[in-house]
Amino acid sequence: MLKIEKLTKSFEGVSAPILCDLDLSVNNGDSVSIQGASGCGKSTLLSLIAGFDTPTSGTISVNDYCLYEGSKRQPQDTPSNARNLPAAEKGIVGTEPVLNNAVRGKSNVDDFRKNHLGIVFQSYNLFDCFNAWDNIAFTARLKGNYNPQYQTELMEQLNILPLAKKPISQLSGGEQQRCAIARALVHKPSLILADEPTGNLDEATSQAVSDILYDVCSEMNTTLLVVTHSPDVAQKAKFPLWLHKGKLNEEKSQIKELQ
Amino acid sequence: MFAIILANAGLITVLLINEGASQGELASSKSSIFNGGTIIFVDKAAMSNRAVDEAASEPQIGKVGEVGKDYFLSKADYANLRMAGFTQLVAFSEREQRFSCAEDDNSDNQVETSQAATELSLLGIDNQALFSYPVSGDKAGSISNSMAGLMSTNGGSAQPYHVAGAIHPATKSKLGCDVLFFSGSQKGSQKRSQKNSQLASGDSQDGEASSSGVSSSGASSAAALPKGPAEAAGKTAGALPPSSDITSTSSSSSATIVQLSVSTAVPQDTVVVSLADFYRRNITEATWPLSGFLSLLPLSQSDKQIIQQRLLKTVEFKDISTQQDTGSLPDSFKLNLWAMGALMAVVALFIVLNALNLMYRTRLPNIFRMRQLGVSSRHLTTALLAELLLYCVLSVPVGCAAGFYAASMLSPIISGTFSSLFDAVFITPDVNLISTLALSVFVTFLSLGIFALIPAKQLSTALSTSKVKAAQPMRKRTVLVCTIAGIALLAITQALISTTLHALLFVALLLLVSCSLVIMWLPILANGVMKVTPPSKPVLHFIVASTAQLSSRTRLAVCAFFIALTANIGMNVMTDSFRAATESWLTQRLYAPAYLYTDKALSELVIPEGVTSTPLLRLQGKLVAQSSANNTDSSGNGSKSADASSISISSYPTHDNGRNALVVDSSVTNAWAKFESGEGIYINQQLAFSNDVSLGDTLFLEEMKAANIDESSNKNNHRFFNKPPSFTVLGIYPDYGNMKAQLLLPLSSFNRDTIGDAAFSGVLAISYDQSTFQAGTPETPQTFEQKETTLATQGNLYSREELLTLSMDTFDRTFVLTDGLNITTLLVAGVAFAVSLSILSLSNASSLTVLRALGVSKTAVKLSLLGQYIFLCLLTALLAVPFGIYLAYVFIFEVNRLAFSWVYPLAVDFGVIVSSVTVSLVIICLVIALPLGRLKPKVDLRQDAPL
Repeated sequence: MLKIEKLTKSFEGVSAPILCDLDLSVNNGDSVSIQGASGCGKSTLLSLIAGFDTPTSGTISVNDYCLYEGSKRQPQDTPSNARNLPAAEKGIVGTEPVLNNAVRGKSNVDDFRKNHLGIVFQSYNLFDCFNAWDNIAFTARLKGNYNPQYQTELMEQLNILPLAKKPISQLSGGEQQRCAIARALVHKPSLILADEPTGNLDEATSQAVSDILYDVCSEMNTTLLVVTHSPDVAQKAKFPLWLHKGKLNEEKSQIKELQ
Repeated sequence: MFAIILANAGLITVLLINEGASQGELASSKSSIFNGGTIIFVDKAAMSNRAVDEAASEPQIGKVGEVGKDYFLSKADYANLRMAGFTQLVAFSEREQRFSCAEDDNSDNQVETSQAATELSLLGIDNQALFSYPVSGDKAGSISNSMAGLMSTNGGSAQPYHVAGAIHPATKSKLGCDVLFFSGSQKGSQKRSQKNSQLASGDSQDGEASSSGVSSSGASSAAALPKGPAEAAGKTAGALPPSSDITSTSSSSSATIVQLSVSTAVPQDTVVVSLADFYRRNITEATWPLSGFLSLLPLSQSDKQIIQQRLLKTVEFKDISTQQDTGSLPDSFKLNLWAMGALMAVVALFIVLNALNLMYRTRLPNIFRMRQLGVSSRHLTTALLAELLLYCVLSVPVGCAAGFYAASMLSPIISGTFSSLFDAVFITPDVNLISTLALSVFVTFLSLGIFALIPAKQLSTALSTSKVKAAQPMRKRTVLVCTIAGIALLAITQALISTTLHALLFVALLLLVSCSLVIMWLPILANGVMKVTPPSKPVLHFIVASTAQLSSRTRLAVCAFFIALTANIGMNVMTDSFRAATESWLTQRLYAPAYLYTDKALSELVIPEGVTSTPLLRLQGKLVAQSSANNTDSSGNGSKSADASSISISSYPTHDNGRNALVVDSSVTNAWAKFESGEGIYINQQLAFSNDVSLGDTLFLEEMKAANIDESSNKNNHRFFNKPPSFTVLGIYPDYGNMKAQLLLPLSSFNRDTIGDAAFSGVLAISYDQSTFQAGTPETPQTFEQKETTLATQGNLYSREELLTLSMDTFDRTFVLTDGLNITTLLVAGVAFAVSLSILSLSNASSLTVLRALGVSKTAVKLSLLGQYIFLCLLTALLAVPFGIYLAYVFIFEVNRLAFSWVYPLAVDFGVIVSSVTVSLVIICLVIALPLGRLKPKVDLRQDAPL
């Protein structure tokens, strides 16, 4: 299960943390959608969970993997306008990172991503040097659990099997996104992070792609965390949440307040 | 922009190095003031013996000037001769001196020496006599003009003495300063005098020497050279001041500062000053007599007799040959430099084209947007070209300046390497700035002109923002057809080659066709490799797939790199083949254990008992007609007139050693037996190729003359040969390094009684009769040494191994510049290639970011990028290998045959090829090591994070 406790992320030169004592707990097979205003920290949250970035403080754990554990560390990412400020004015908190034994060293973060994480990007990010089949197979081959039979079934389910040998540049946006979803699922990860998976798609395709994503994750008992601006996509999640002022909220009133 | 700067800098550097080497070679091949004249000097051997005898009988310590004074030439003798009408005589004296580079500061009379002392010859000449005798124009005029202010500017005892001097440009380049400094002390050295006189007589190869496979550099003139009187005087009295190194700050009154001017008329490693400046302070005629008189014109026999009579001393005359005064570069050297310059220009052209293409591609997304917003393609094209033009205008001067700077930085290093390792000459070039810059500008703007044709067409259709259709590799069948067509074109064109220019144009065509084929084959090859790469290794699979994709985007950069690498492999294979052929040929051809190079006449040589000598006789003749063995002439006589080309006729021994040593390409049946009986001759490849002579043909020669006879002989050959030779061609032999057509006649065919001395080339093959040195007898070593000493006193005695080493050193020296320029070109192309790859790879950075996001480690990502570069480089190299070997074949069998009239077997040593490829890989790795080390693939969900 995904468990986040007291997660805080600050950027240098910005007084208010973008994520502040955020707590979240998601059971295996459950799906969570996160909505929120632009710049509220949705993608930052996904980056922290994926290990692309390090939190200022807090704990993130996925099943047996504890990515960060209740410590404070010096922020690494800084907005460009704050880079030249003196340390005291940058709002630097904490000093040394204290990493859990399980994730000491970056190779373990790489192992975590390789073995337990699937990512669906807004702009697909498929390799244009590969065809559709090799793109999808990449993560499974990397993990070492490549199973052509399983991949065929998955591609059939996503209705992209006929595209298997096609170069990526010849696929439409929807086809590419379905390939990206297949790539995120094919190595059977325990957690899937999807950042605006339907952001570049038309409404019909968006509905189809999101349906597939939720269904397949549910079938595979895979935890799904979706960041989206689409209420339709968000509502398909078991737990639709709102991110506002650094905290997650289940109440819709927040959106009205924003509006 | 960096690539354009790099291309221009590389081009300028190569051009300047080219120019420095050619000017150095030219300067060393030009005659010094001694060439073409006669040196009059006292017989040193006789003088030395007599001086020693006198010293033994009557010690003369403290009376240096008195010792043997009658045996030196004096100013009185000089005046005597000039008054007798010998106004072409110029008195000179030389001594050893250690010089330091100096920074002269007149204000406090301090002399700052900047580096260790260098030993040079200080040559004092009577510059007034030189001025007043307007004969040698360039020769004397050059040195006189450069020493216009030769007279000393002060003579105060408290200050350093300032004199004007002249120096050879190569020597100046080695020293690297304009002002020299030395103290009043001097150092006598017979060896140095000998060497210096050798230099005075020129130090370049001539075609004759190479017939025996060795350079004759100074060897023939070393035996009887004027030597300084120091040794005799030093031995007898030991009263000459000791030599000293002057390396520190000095304000000594004996210090002398020489302001140098440059003249090619000065012998190398020599500083020329006026005789008045030579003799000053403690150096007087009494302590250091004149070395001799130089006659600016050759003296006739009657002049020599008159001089002998007037001097009442035993003097010797040494005529200094003008044969070595080529005043121009050898064709092979020029061709080498021309080829290297042209290669660099082509590589620069491709680099600039590639750079412009990259700039265009970078701007393409914005161009799309502007087209969508209604900006016309004409305006966009104009704006784009104006921007590219601006970049070119800015880059060319920066690149040229960088090139000049690089060349100036490299000049001392190259010069030092040339002189220390290879005894070759490299000088800081005196270049025509305008023409050099013009070439750079031309190459850059030619690239821009070619490139301007591309965007104009593409921009008109650049309205669509849809993903640019992926470049589809050509179908294999199409590529195969193109390949066959290209090879057929090359084969047909190669068959039509008939001149050197054709051959060079064919080389250009070969490179062009091979480039086109590489562009077509590279993606196919990469895709082929991708298919066999196991997908179970996903990162490796990704590397190969990315390379296949990259290969179609980097065509122009690949072309530049491919041309440089192909040329590198071709040149290396050619040079290696040449080296192997030459070494093998020399090893077989040098049949005697030793060779004596002498200036003495054949009849004067004393050959010890038990030593067998075989002289090399040589004549010159003109080929006036030839008749073909296959009589096809309509007149029936089958003979045709030739172009009266000059031919060297050499003797060849008919003993067993000679037979075994003669390497032939082709010969008729029983050729050797016929040769022994005087029925025919062997000719070298040069004669065969240049005059289209075949086996069995008959050659008719006239105007025979021997080198040592001044006037040409009559037209009949009876004076030279025992019987009228038939001159039927029995065989064709390789004669590497010889630029002249040559034929071999049996030694027995020469009429040695009449022309033995006249035709003697100065080379004697020496064999030791083993029966006279019986093993086990205690006298044997001593006897042997004595016999060798007897021979060595008559000239320069070289063992077979020494000659082989000397020859191969000469060979390596010839090709060191080619190697250097080749590496420079490869380096520039490699850097440009790596820069292009880096730019393209970084523009495709999202792939690397995704790799990181999917769990590939940072190191693996970096290695994947490095792997792409190396893989692409390897693929290019793989394709360059066959074309490189083909290029070597063309160099050997077309360019060499037509330019130099010789060919040799193509020897493909894979070690050479592997080393070329390895060097290119190392260059690529080194170039990308820095940016790769700084690469920090950072993951971002939105994929806009820069690497």
